[in-house]
Amino acid sequence: MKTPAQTVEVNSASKQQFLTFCIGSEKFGMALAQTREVIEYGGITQVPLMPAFLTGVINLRGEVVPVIDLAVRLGRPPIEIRRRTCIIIVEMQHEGQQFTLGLLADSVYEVLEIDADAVDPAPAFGANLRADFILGIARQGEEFIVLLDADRTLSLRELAKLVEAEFD
Amino acid sequence: MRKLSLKAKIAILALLIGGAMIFLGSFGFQQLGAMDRYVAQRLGDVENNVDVLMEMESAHLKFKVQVQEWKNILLRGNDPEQFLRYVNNFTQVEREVAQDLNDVLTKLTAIGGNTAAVMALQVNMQKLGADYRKALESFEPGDPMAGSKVDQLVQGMDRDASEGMTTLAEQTEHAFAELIADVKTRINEHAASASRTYVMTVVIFIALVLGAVGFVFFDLYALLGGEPAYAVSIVRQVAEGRLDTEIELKGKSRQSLLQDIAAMKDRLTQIIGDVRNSADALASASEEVNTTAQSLARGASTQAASVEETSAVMEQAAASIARNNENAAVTDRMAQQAFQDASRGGDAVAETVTAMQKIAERISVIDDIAYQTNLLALNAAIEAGRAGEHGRGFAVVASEVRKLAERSQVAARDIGELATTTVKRAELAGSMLQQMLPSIQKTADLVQEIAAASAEQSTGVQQINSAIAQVSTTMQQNAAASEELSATSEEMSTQAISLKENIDFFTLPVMRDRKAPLKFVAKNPSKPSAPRPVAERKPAEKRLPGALEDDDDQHFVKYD
Repeated sequence: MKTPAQTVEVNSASKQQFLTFCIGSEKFGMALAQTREVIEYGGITQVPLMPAFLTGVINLRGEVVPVIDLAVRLGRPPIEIRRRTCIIIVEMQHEGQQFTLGLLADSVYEVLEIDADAVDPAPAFGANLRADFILGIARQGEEFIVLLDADRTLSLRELAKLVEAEFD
Repeated sequence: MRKLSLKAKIAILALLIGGAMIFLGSFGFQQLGAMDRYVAQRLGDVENNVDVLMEMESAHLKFKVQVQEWKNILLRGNDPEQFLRYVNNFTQVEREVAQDLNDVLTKLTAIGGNTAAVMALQVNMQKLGADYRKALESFEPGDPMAGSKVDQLVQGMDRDASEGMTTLAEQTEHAFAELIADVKTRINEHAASASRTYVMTVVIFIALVLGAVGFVFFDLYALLGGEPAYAVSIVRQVAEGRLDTEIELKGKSRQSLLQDIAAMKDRLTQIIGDVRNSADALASASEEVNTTAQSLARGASTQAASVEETSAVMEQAAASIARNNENAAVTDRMAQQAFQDASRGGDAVAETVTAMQKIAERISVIDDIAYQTNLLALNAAIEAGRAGEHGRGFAVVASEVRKLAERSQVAARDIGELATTTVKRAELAGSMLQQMLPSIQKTADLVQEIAAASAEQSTGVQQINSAIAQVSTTMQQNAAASEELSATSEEMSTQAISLKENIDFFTLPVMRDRKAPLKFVAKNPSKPSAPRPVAERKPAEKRLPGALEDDDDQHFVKYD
């Protein structure tokens, strides 16, 4: 755990802030610019005929927000709902239009400023993810944090392709 | 014959002799009677012949008288008176002669004799008479020579008659003499025959009786096996206890009295040897019994002391058992107390667990609050990050808040873990207490059983005490009995010595091999029983008291 002084001190352009969370046993990071907030899991409304990665919808202050199971999206078994399960609300820009999505996560850790030097590029193989979803892998002590590219991971086009593929 | 008793044999013998006597007597009597009858018959014959002879002699004599009368007639016939008288006499005598001859004829006919001569004589006599009378007619009484003349006429006429008469008389006499001789011879022969028969019969019977007597005697002799005097002397010697007497047996009979006396003697020898050994053994045994009885008495007194010690020890044991009983009662109360305490401890632990669970619940609320605070801080940090440079100060605050929340969360988690651990420990303590409860209960039960066992032990100790008292009584009785036994054994020793002295009355022969069958000394007196090698004797063998201690006893096996 880094001291607050270190975190506060980092303000150069080479530093970027990430929200770190956990899915399964792996730690992921997502750029803070695309996240809006984190809410506790308070129940999800199931919608019929939805693709598998779309868990359902929630009511976020009057707004209907679809919730994506990121584990399914990343090709893994669905997340089990626990006490610490959270929903990360992200805002995406698509064709000039902003829309909101919820991501299920096992738990949320913190907001980290990660130096660009500490980020390695995504390996061509070896990681258990598709390489084009990953911005890079950040080292934090002995741990690795997989930094996800939200635009790619959650792009509507990609999702639509998935939906089409699923319904074909 | 063997089966008959001597009495029966002698009775049979007596009967035999008596029968023989009676038979001989009656046979002799009968012979005598037969002889008598025979002699009487013969005598009758003789008597008849004597009559014939007498008559014949008489006839002869009378014939001579007749001739004499005839002569008288002739001589004195001149006198008529005389003549008549002599003629009458002559006729008279002639008649008598004829009568006699007739008698002779009759008797001869009666006895079956030869009558021809007599009848011829009669004829001659009649012819003679007729001739004489015819001649007498010519007698002239006046003529003195008339007699001579008549005589001249009849001269030679009487020859046939007188010769016949004489011859007949002589023949008759001769026949009588022959008859006498014949009768004599016959009687003699008959007597000799009767005598022979009688003698033979007597001899046969005497032989028979002698045979029977001899048989009975030899039977008796065989039964005795020897001379009766010898048997008597042997029996007397055996009666005097001299068993070393050697009995000489005669004959091959295996069932004689002497044989049995010899067997009896050998058997007696063996038995008395055994009795002597037994008497010795009895004497030594009674000594041993005496010793044993004395040691028994000592043992009894020692045991009595031991029994008293045991009694004291048992009283101590009784006291210990009573103490054990009390201790067991105290332990029982304590175990009950411990059981109750453990139950209460279990309840307390359960309450503690409940309290700890409540604490854990409360702690989860705190954890939730910390988590939500963390989320709020995160959102604040996100907001601050989105605000860029303007939100930097706020980001610091949010970070501090988040860290506080994290510390709260960590502390709550620690407290929760601690509570969980405590609950586990308490549950463990509770379960251990629960496990302890049966043990304590078991302990209480065992202690009660110990108390019961102590009570039983107490009873047992009382029984042991009474048993020891009985043992003590028995000990005293034993001591008394052993003293009596000692006295009895002394008495027995005396009796054994007396028995030995009595047995010494018998003189035993020199010891022979006992296993050898009963031998009869007379058969081979010079041959001793087979000597055994000296090495075969056991060195520790008990020597027979009274056995001869000289070199001879090497030849004899010791009694074991």
